[in-house]
Amino acid sequence: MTAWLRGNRWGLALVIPALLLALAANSLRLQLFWWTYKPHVATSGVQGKPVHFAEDFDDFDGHWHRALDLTVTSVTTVAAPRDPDGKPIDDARTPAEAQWVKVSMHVAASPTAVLFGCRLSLLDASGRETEYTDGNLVDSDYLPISPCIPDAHQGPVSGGPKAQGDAVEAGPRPAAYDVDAYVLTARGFRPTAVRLQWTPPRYVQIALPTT
Amino acid sequence: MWRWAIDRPLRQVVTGIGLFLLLLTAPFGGWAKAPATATGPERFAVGKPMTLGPLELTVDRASWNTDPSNTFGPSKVGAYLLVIGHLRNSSNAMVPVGVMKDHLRLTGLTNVLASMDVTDPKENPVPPDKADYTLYNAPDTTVLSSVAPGLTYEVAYVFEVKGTTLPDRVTVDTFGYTWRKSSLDQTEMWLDRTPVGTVTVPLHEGVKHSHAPTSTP
Amino acid sequence: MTSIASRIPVRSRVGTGILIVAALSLGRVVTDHMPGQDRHERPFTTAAKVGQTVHLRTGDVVVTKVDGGKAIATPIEADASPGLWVAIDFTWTPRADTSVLGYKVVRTTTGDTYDSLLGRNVSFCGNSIPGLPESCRMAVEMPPDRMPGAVVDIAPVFDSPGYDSLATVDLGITDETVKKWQARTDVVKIPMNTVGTGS
Repeated sequence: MTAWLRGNRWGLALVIPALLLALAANSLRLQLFWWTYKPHVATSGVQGKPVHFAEDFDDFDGHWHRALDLTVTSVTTVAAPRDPDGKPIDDARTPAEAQWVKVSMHVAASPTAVLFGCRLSLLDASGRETEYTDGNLVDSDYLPISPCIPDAHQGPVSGGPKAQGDAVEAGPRPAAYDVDAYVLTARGFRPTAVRLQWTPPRYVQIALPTT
Repeated sequence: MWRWAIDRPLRQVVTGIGLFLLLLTAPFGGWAKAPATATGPERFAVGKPMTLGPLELTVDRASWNTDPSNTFGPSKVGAYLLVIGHLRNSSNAMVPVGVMKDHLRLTGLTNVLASMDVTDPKENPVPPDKADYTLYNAPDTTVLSSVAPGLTYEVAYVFEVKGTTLPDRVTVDTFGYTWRKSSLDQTEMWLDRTPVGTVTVPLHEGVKHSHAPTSTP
Repeated sequence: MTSIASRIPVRSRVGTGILIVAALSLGRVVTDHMPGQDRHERPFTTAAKVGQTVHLRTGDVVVTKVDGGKAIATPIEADASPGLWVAIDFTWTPRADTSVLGYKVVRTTTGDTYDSLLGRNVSFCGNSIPGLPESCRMAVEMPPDRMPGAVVDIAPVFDSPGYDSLATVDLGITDETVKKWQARTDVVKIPMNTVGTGS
């Protein structure tokens, strides 16, 4: 037996790295099916202070970089939403079970950065997540698709040359701007954080002061 | 014998195995050309149902008109050709027509457009077997994008043609599919498009639609 | 080519061969007895009736109304069916995350399925907000004779409801219901989804 062990010592020693390699090769599945589709990598900040957020992303045009400085200036409950021009939306029939939360933000970013397609959500102390959506009010097309950019000058939808050219033609997005997002939530929902994300797994999370 | 085989050079061993395998195929015909198992498309009479995988199609008639429907406007380049029939789903799940988009194809025409409203002269006309139809539920002219199990729809396969010179009969080919796992990504889908039948129907100039105000049924 | 094989005794070689074949057979037997995909992917089903609230993992759903007829009218289009339409209203209240009640499939006693997202079928349901009830609507067309005993499977996902909770609600359709719907001459009106149970 000992002779057999000695005779096969190299083979036996190789079994352990072979097993480890097999496991490591399978871990690709975690990366593919889970990690990259969920928000996991946080950039944290607090209300009133600018937070620098940067990430790389891919789209149909290529591989790009996105960077911005985000300040959440205030988060308040309001009676009714306003459209991007600041006019109250009259036919926003807010149901009895709901309320509107206005998120005011200040953003500084290069006019060429792709900020289109951001997802904004509010989290409460128990972890409930309410996402901004533009389609919750029937007959209302007033809310913008992307809540984090000025509706009149949205900037490029991609890093590619065509999208960049289109954005310049439409009037470039200012290098710094204020924007308000109106989020419909359940009545009594008390947000404790604002989350903004484009491409998972990265996201920005701004903690709100407890009142 | 074993010892002798083991000691042959690799090339000889591989060649030997290959020859042996080839010899094994002898009882099944060896190099001989395999006989075609598919009998080719069958000629169907008008009104006889054809089985195209999960769908059963009966071609009843065909008509053409420059402006046959309320739903789509008059043709800008010629006319619409409508192959009218009955379509039934005999499977137990909804069949999206898009996955079997080419289950019906025209033959013999030289003035067919790639699809309704693709009127760009650079891309048209196309060979008849490249022309795509739009499938309508005839009674209320809504687009039929999926066929529900157990229901028989009165359908119109709508093609657009350049000009109004059309023959007095039109022949269509039909194709069937098999539900199986794709060998590429292991997802089950309708694959293996094979010719099923061919049917020739008289082609008449149909009625122009009335332009009556649309009423809710 | 003085082969390595010739240095190893025949008995040992045969033994190794047997071991390999045995290991492969064992693997085959084990994989053959593993539960199939349909078994390990099956959802956690809760059966209910119209009006009963089902507590799914991520929220509460209740079928509030079942109606039917030959023709429907939505704000988008009006369709007459060669069979019959069944129109179902329900309320969906997500618990923790914003979600869409995407999977809504009517299933008959014969195993036929009618997906509200396909074909001319109707599915009105938005991005529902945690704690805020949303009134969703759907309608599917089907052969009248397959309607009695049909159920609707509902889950807040888009493709397959596997691994997660699923509500199976008996629509309570009988032969009499079908006869009544077939005799109807008016159009079943299907409004868009609405947020909240009333404003």
